[in-house]
Amino acid sequence: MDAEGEDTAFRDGYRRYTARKLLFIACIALGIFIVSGVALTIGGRDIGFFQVYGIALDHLGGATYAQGSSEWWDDYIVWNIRLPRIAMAIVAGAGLAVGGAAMQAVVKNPLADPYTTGISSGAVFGVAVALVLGFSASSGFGGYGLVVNAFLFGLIPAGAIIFISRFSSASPVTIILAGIALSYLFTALSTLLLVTANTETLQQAYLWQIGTLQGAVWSDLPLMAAATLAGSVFMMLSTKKLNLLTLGDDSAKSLGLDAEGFRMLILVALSMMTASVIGFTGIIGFVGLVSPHIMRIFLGSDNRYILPASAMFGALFLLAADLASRMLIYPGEIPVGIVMSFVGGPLFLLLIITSKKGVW
Amino acid sequence: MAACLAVAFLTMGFELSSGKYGIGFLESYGVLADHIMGAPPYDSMKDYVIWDLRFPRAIAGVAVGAGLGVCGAAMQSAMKNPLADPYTTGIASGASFGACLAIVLGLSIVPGLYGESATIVNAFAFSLIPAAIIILVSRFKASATPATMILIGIAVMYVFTAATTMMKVTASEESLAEIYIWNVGTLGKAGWGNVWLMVAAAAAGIAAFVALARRLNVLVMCDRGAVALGVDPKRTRMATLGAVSLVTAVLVGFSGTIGFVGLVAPHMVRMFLGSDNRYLVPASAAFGAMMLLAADCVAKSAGSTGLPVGTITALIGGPLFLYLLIKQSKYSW
Repeated sequence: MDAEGEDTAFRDGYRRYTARKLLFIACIALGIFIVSGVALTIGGRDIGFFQVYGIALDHLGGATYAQGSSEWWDDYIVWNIRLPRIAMAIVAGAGLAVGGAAMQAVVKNPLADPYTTGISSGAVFGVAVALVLGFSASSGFGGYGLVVNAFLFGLIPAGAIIFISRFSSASPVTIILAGIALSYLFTALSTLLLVTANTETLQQAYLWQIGTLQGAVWSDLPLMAAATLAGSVFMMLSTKKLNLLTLGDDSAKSLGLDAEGFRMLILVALSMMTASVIGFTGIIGFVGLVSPHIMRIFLGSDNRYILPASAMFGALFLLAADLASRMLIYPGEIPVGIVMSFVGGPLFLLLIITSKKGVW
Repeated sequence: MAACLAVAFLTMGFELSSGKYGIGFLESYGVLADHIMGAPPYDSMKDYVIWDLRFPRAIAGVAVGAGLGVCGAAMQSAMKNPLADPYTTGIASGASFGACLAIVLGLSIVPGLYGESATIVNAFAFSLIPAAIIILVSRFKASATPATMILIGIAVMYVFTAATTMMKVTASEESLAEIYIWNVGTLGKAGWGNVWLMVAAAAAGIAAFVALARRLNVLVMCDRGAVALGVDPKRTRMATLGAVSLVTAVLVGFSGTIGFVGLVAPHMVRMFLGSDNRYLVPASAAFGAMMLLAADCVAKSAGSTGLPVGTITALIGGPLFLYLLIKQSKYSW
């Protein structure tokens, strides 16, 4: 074979390689679409699978119905009750999974997830402050006191880490260790508050920690979606830099990347994104840690594919888990985090065992 | 290291003298020495308070702190991960599950037990399950890298945590409060009946890891290098994992899941002594013991009912650790 033929063969091979990965991501997107449809049909009122897509499309088209008519109820239930929850599942799942993938790349540690910097403990402390002391950073926000507190306190650890790394270095180890110290510190502070609290407050704080998508309304979404979208777009634009970072700081620097500055930038974007998500949903675990790992088993560890694929998979995963959590003990529901761990844990274990290559 | 031991000894005096019944700092050593020498106690009340109430708790503090510190150091070296601690393999989640089973549902894996002993036995038995799964899976997998082992631990951990959460959601408010205290950890349950087991576990752990220290040093380098130097990385890692699990399971059974010490004590020692496991392992034990004892002193004397020791450790240790991190700008783990 001449040089040109070899070149074409190589190019074709690469094209097939990318095509396969893109196809995989497209499949997950299709999965999200289908599961959303199924999730829309679940509820007290019986509306068919294809019907819900029609209703959603009609609503987007600006259709209006006479108040109280059967169509009006269908439209109201699909659009105002069921769809916000699904949208929230997609946004939260995607945001947490992208955050997890980025964090694992940035600190070069398979144990990292969006909460590694202590965001979750900060947020829990914020909630404990609001519940126990009745203090909220925003008395004017009414019912959003918890959300605002969780969001603001969730950002404190990240701020502290950035502050610390100015004196130390912004190496992965510094970030991880500072994150550990901060999350223990905030957990201890929450414990101090909660030890004195009565059992009802304790239970309320506890339920917040588990995380749920229950009670999602459209007004929750803009902030969350905007932060997630902005963060995800930023991270996906910097996937090549993330790839460089995994080579090690020295190599990354010699290739022209300001490793430490870039790491801080990602950390800021990640914290904003995660804090805005968990402010509304509570601490939803598992999806941020495991989605990137599952994608790595299928796609390898090129961040150009891992980040978008993780976003898709995280959304699908959370959506499906939320669906299952509502279907298992209808009309009650199990917290979505529990379902995710119950189903996802063994699945993840199976994937690790059966995968030939290393997962990290 | 010697300094650590000395401080630990001093702290022990504080631990003995702190409490509602006022006994002086030096006096408590005196009472202790009298008892050991077999001298007739001139004040039987003081003797009782020191010997039967405070001394077991102090010993438990030393044992748990030392055990967790040494296990954390070994785990971080074996897994080559600064985030690793004695609970990384999911021991804590298994133990919590077992404890919940006993507290919420009143079930025990050994029939006939109930109440506190059921909690202890359950916690011990279930905390061994995650490590057993990791070892089992790694045996049948050709490439058992540290990352794989950690990820297996995470998967198992999530399943246990989910099951525990499920129980907690349905639990009454009182049992929830009890589980909460258990999760935070306390030394308050120590008595002469159980303290020997903790000491034995901690001593066994220290002995095992001091013996393994050279191999752990080789392991930190890289797996191929280890093979070239005649150390089987997989088997060393498994042995470490097994030993960590056994030691931690015993300690957790009696004290609950006390966090922070196992993770942070080794890092603090590293900042002063470097990463050579031959020094790191014993020093982590001494430092962990000191840390937990000091925290327990504060915990006992804080508030009317006292506070969970895990909270105090994190509350004092957290900022201290951050301060050290800032000062040691060249810290490489």
